[in-house]
Amino acid sequence: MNSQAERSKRAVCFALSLDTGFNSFLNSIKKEAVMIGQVHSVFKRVVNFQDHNQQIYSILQRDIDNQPYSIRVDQSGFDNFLELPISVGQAVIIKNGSLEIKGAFIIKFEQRELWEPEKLKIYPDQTTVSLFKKNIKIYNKCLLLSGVNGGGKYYYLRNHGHLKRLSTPSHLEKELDRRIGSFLFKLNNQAKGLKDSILSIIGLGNGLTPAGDDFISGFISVLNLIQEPKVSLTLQQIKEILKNNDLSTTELSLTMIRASLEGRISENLKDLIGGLVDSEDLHLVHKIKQVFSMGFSSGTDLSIGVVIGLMYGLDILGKWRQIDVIKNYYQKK
Amino acid sequence: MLSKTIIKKNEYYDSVTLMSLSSKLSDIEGVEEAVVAMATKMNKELLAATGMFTAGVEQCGDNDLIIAIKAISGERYEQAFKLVEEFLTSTTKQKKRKEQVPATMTSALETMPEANLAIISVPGEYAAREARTALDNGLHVMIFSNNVTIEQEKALKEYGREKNLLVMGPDCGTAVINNIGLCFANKVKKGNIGLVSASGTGLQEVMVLIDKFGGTISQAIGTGGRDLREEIGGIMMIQGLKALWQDDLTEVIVLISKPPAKSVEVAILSILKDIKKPVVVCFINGNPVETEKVGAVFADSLEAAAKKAVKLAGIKEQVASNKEELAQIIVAAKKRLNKEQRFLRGLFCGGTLCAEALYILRKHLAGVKSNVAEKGEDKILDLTKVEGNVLLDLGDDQFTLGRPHPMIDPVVRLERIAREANDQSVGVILLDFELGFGSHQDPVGITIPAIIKAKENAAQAGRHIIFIGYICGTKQDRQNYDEQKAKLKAAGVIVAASNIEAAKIAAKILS
Repeated sequence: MNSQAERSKRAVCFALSLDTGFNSFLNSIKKEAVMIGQVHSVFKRVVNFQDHNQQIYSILQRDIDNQPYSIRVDQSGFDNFLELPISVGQAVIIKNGSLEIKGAFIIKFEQRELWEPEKLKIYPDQTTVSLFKKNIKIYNKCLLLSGVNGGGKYYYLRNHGHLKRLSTPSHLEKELDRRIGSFLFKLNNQAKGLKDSILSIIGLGNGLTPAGDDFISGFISVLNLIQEPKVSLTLQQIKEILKNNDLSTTELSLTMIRASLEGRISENLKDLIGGLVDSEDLHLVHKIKQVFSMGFSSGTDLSIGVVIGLMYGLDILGKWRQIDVIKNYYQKK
Repeated sequence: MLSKTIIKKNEYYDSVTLMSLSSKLSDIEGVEEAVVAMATKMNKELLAATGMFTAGVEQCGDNDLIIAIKAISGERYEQAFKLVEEFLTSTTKQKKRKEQVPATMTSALETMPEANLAIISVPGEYAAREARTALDNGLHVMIFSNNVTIEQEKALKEYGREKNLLVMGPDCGTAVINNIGLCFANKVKKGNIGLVSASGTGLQEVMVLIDKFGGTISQAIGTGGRDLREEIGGIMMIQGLKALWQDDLTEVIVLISKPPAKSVEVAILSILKDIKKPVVVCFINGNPVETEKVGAVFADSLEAAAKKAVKLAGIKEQVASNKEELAQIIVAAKKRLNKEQRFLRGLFCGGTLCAEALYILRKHLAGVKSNVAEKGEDKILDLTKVEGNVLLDLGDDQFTLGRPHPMIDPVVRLERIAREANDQSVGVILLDFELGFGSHQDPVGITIPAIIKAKENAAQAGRHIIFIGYICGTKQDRQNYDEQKAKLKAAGVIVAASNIEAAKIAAKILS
């Protein structure tokens, strides 16, 4: 058996692709051999590190899709970051043009490609609405069969799944149902208390990105893409609430929410949104399942946020066409 | 009632670990509620609303982990607390231990140069490459991974044949080599019957029944489900057959599969002509004529294959008949169903067991549909509209995405039991339980509450649901076969002696 030092020598990764957030971060580093951050958390397929501004960046194994503030690496030779001698708080440095977690692994950037997807634009016209209504039936079936319980699935099936009977929900599922319902009511009716209703969802749920955060993140991601001034103003309202208030949630989740506020979106989620408003998308089921497989229940909750966001943005859920969102927005200002 | 919290400061565990812990805590009898969540403001509010907020929680930050447990007594709380410590410690230890686990085939070979078999369980896209490396190094290969392309499979098997090495898989879940079970396998007595199978639970069922009938197993070789397709040509079935022919321990050979492609059947049968050991061919739903022409023994079910193999091995079947007792149970069960309860739902963890039940039941009941059916009209496409007689393989990709296979964690089936039992037209629910390496530690135990609840709900609606269970396992399996059986009987479940018997009982009750 080789010594640990010998093994770590072999842990050389080659960058495959990185998003514009990670790329800008790298470009901002002007000095060599400097510490650029510290390891925040380590999982089997992901290492997160935090820079001096508390922004979290992720190093992903190649089988994970492109994500905001992330770099995908070809890690031939090992498949589990937990096997490497990496500990929380360990220094992350840039040296000789490579990113290094000392004693664990080095990422070489020679062949990196910038992942900069074309922005999807969704126009809430009749064609889009009818395509979405057709595709949503496929989504509903997938959610029922493969969606993970414990988060927003109960809310969705109860309110949009057209099911008479559901299994007994947990306290958390009931709370999410109530709070998401309240948030959407306030949004639809431009009612008072929108701020409290959004904040009551943030941080609610199990796991490292609580279900409520996943839902909101998916919802915002879609609203960012809808080409309609009234929807943009609604989004602006939500953004202002989230930016101007302290959000009580995990650091990883904060990074996810901030990224969605900036219009950054993961590759799988973008594919799903595109598929839901596309005609004849033969890969829609695959795209849905790809998102469901993210995290434990995160993918399911993100997708529910996306679908509800589309329902809102396409005016299926609500009534922004009937409400003078613009007037309301400026009155509140 | 006792409510306490365990706090882990700035500790990160992945979501699967947290959810698994939450689920395990909830399973403890006497634990009323368990919340495993990060200490965000909203989660703290949730704890307060459920009466689980304790003084320590107030001090927690967003990045701290809270494990809140509400138990009926101090004793139950201690039991839960112990589980938390053991679970999280083992996770941490695993992280440390993993530093010593070889990460690649090359480093694995450095660690264990004497190895002669490699099990590949990596994402499908990398499996072929790792398998190739293993073959390059002279190792037999078992590929547990799926999503390997058929072209890759063919190339690997041709290469394996060239080097006289076995390539079991891809998507091969069961094998027993030199009495060591690999992946999902049962503990069986070592002996003289050798098996080659293109089906995982089919292989388990035959080895379990051989064991039950008093027979013994030399080797059980899996080939992967696509091996007998035209494109592959049965390369591994033939390799396995030849290996057993040459194996000194093996005196009787059993081949198990769905009916192969015609050209593959011809190739296999032409080899059988030359084999001097007795061979039982079990092609479920297949045709006996061609098999018998070459002097082999045909079996049309897994149970028949086991019986014939045991007989050919010169062993007298050691199971007493329970026909009379069963006849009485069936008569009693029929009386308890009302007129509307005309249909069956089979909720299977084992795909081949589902397929075998379908083959039997379609002879006795009208319009039986399944997600494993090959024929157009029998194939159930819309799984949200389940009506009539339906058998579901819950291990299919449609049900398992993002979840463990139901043989490992039967949660997906528990939800389905509740759903199907609520259907007023359902009279019988058929369940299989797989024991052995790799399977859930108590598959019956975890299912019993769902069965009882379903029966109670039906009783409130004036109905009685008949449950029929089959345990695919041996008395040597780690889950304790007798205890599993006793639990089923105590819950009023009719326990069958084989998968096929379970299907036949269901047919008799409903016809």
